[in-house]
Amino acid sequence: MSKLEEQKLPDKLPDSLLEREFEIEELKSRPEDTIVSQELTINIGPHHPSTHGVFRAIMDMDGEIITRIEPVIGHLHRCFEKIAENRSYAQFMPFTDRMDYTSAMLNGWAYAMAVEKLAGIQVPERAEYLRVIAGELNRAISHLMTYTFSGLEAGAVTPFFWWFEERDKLLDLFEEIAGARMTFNYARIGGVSGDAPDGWFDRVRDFIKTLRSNLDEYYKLLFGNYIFKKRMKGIGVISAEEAIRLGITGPCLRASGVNYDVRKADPYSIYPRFDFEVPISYKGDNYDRMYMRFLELQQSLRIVEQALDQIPDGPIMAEGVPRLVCPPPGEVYAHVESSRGALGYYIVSDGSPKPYRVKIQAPSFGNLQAFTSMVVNNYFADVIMIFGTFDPCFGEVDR
Amino acid sequence: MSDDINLDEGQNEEMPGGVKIIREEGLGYTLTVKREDLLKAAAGLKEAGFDLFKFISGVDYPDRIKLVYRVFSTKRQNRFGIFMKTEVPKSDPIIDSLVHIWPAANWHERETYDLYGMEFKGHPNLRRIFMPDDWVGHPLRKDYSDDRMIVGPFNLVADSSKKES
Repeated sequence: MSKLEEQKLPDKLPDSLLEREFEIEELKSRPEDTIVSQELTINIGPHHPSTHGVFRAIMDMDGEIITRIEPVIGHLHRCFEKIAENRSYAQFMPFTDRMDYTSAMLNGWAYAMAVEKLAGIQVPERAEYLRVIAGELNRAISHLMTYTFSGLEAGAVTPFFWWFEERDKLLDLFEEIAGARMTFNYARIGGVSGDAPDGWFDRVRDFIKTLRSNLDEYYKLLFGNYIFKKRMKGIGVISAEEAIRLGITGPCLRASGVNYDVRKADPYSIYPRFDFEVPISYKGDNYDRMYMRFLELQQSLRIVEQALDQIPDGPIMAEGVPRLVCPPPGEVYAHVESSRGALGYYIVSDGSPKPYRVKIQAPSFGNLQAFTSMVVNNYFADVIMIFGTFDPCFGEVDR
Repeated sequence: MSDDINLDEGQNEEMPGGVKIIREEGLGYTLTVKREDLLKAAAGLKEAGFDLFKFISGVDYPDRIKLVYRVFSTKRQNRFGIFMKTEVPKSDPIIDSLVHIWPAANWHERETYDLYGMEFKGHPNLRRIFMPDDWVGHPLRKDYSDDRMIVGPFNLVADSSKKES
């Protein structure tokens, strides 16, 4: 005889339980149309771990489906554009690293390009090559982070550790040339801050070789994972027209089948010298947005290899760049393909040592706006996954 | 998609709306419109295939605010972007909203409203986007200042001359 059967039930149930039973009975007996069902308003953020930064969203839910989303941004707003107006051109350079902190090299590069264009400074060949190598490796870092976080959101913890190991090796390489691991401050107006130390190029080659040989395994680990595929394929679909209408740029736009990459559309720096492709996909779902980055990462490695073969000797800073750059009055716009999309700087100069106006065109800002428009009518569980594939960087959104 | 506008270097082409596109040093193709003609010019650009909206930038001058719009064409064979400039007097900072032409302009117009105090007529949801709703003033105006600015504006030229003397 088990213990359960030994226990005697009380003769009478406690009052509270009786009341509850009565409520349930009453609900059952009600006709269906009097049962109240209402939309639920819930809040995520500002510090939800899967919001990739400080993002708050207020959502109206009908069951599991989102009917309205109201994003609240600006928690990280530092008004860099105002800061820029009160500093000299060179003093603003470190601030650019604090915008898209996962691809800081590309940010600094874009700003330096804009000021050089304005002041008419010609960058030496070697500096251009170093910028390309650093920039493309930084794009690889940024994409590696995107997968790992997306994997974590889908419940895959292993890729996080595996891919972060590669990322760490890359950060070690950056530490050697720039002296920092996150906010590099590597670009300078007229060149770069430091030359590559002895043997650095060989170490980059070794890194690329190891990463290449591991990529196949990593692919299977995340992109071949059944759960990851289930969570990604056919979810969050955006058509090409919709993507353009919403103002998406970068890998997310190319995943919808629009062939727009600044490196090809408006070639800057020395990109015309390299042989690389812009990967395109047509489904526009979560999986494609992630896979696009995987292909792009391989193209980046290809560009770095070519740059390593071609890099000439020479100076890394342009001659005669004054310490206090005073560009002539005028306006300038320079843009690069950042890891998240088209990143541009629009600078107005009045001839003084301080910029009159610096406008930063942040790709994440446009992509986040698109995310909040397209996420309606999706399941709540998918929102985080879709958010992960857009990969906005909040340092850049809020600026 | 219409490819009837042929933009070559040095060639000034007339847009639907009666405005001319010129090539400006440092910026590329630019078209300057009056405030009243903005909607017409924007619709013309959209018709000509400029479908991807990039950003709006305000520039604060003593008497006026210049607005610079950047749009890009993904449809044209020679993909390129264009700048559209217009000026608004500071005493009357109102301009037509372009949200119904380019929906992506929504947040960018809110940003310009937040930081420059520009009113966009016809915007569906014109609220502050970065600053809290109860914030006073528009930070990117040149005359803006508050106690929270730890380092105030300083003059580099004046500083360097002080050291020499």
